[in-house]
Amino acid sequence: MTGSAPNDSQADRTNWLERILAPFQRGTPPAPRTATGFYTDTTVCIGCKACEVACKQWNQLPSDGFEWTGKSYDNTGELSATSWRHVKFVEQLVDTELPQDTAIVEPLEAGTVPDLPGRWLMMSDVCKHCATAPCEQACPTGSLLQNEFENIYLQSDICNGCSYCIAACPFGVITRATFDGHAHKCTLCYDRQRDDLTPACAKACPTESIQFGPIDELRERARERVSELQSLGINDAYLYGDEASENYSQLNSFYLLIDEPSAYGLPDNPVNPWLFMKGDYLRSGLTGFIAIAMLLIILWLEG
Amino acid sequence: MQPANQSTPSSDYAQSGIVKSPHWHWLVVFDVWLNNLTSGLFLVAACGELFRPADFSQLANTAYLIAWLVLLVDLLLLVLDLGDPKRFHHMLRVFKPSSPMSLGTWCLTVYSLPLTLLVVFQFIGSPPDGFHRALVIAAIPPAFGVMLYKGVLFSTSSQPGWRDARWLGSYLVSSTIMLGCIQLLLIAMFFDEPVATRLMRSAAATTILLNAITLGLLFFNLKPTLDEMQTSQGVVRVTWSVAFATSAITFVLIWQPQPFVSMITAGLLLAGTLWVRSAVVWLPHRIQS
Repeated sequence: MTGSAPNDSQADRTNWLERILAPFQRGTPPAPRTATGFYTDTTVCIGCKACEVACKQWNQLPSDGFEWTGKSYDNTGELSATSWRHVKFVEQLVDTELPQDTAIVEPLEAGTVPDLPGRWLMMSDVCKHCATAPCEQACPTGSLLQNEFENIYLQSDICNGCSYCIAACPFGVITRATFDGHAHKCTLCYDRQRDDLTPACAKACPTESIQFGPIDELRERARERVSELQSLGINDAYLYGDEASENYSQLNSFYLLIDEPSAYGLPDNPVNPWLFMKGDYLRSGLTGFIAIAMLLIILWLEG
Repeated sequence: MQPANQSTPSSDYAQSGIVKSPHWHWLVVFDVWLNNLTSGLFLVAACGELFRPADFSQLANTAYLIAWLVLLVDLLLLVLDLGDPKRFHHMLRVFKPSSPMSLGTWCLTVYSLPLTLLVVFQFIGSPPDGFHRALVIAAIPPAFGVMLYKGVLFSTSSQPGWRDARWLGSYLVSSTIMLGCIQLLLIAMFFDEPVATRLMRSAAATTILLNAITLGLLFFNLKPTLDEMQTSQGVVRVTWSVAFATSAITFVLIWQPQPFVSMITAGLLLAGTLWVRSAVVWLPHRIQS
């Protein structure tokens, strides 16, 4: 070991220099490809969490441990740097007594919906891959970018853990990992997409609640599904994030919901904070000019 | 399949906060404060030196040295606050004006260069007067940017409280100039410069008034959010009451010529501004807890 010390020291210096310079090296950006995304139909989600498992397995994400959250069967809690998919269980049970003989279930006619005393809503949540993403606008290192599939991709070798993306995201998707201090989130299986493979979660979903594909096709398919559900009497069905609102862009990962967004832990009216940036700069700048002008007037007048 | 009105609270995601708080705690509180101290002191000293060189030239050199030292500590806090401090230089990979943090990083970098030269020349001998003046002028725009970006960085976010704080940037800017005036007042008193002391006393009093106005505007921005807070409402109200009381008391005290009173006034303003910054930075954490 003693004999190799000079080489080790030289290697250390080279590594150190490489670590300083590598982030500044730029490759050629890939050519744009067809925009892709997720369409999640929550009405067919059965809460199996296969998507969570597949995501963890493919992306080699560590376990979050196990603890009872007190939220139905949702014991993974929330999206995080180590959980890029998260299935929510929303229990909506009215306070009425269940029938005594629950074993007897009347057969239903095809196409009818059972009148139950309550329901469970299930939703597989993930990064929304916003068309105009506040996290990407916030990122000061260029770690977060929109890749050739128009997905929001986080380059973990660039992120320095400043946390501004966490502050910017109105959906609470991104967190910083404790093991390396960097932010992590869904990549929409960028590596798999480059090899023309379906993202792990969509591949694993047994009910096709999570659908992956070209975003325009997904939006068309989702609208047809809403019409179908409404024709069956489910008039609450609607799409969340398929179209841009006054305050927020389209989502490239959008949802079919049958209750208010807040019931699923989604903001009812997401707002892109960058809409206010110019005004905030103007107010601040104007205040600065006024303060300095007052200072100069005092320096001039009291001479 | 009608939506049930009586959902079970234990599984109701509507009751839990949607956004997640960034890891910004005490280091960031002091970073905001030191950022305002260094940029405020530099800007006020530069204005004094450029417009009344006879009265402020000597004081300005001391001010630049202090501003530089404060900047060093501030930069250290900024680096330590990162999840991976060894990657601090990644901030300089891109220049991205759409990101207040990127703009702020570049302003801090550009501001540090002429300021460092101004300090270095104090120790190795004065440069030609024109060059010194050019360095001071060169540092003014980035120093203005350093003062400007911080409040916008917070208000351009999705965090409860911050996202509604349209006047946060204005408050931080006005208190930056106020802190600059009060620091230069102390320096002028220390070097027994009567003209500069008198001028800085007037300037400090004027900016205390401006700062109270922007503080009031910020308070009205935050009031709906503060009203929603149940558990820590008392703490929040005390914080804002103390901030307004400090403005009123210091506006009276600043006119007193005794050095001891001026020291107390400066101490109150420094502590008050630190307190408000602490209340603002911790706001999303308090709301979500």
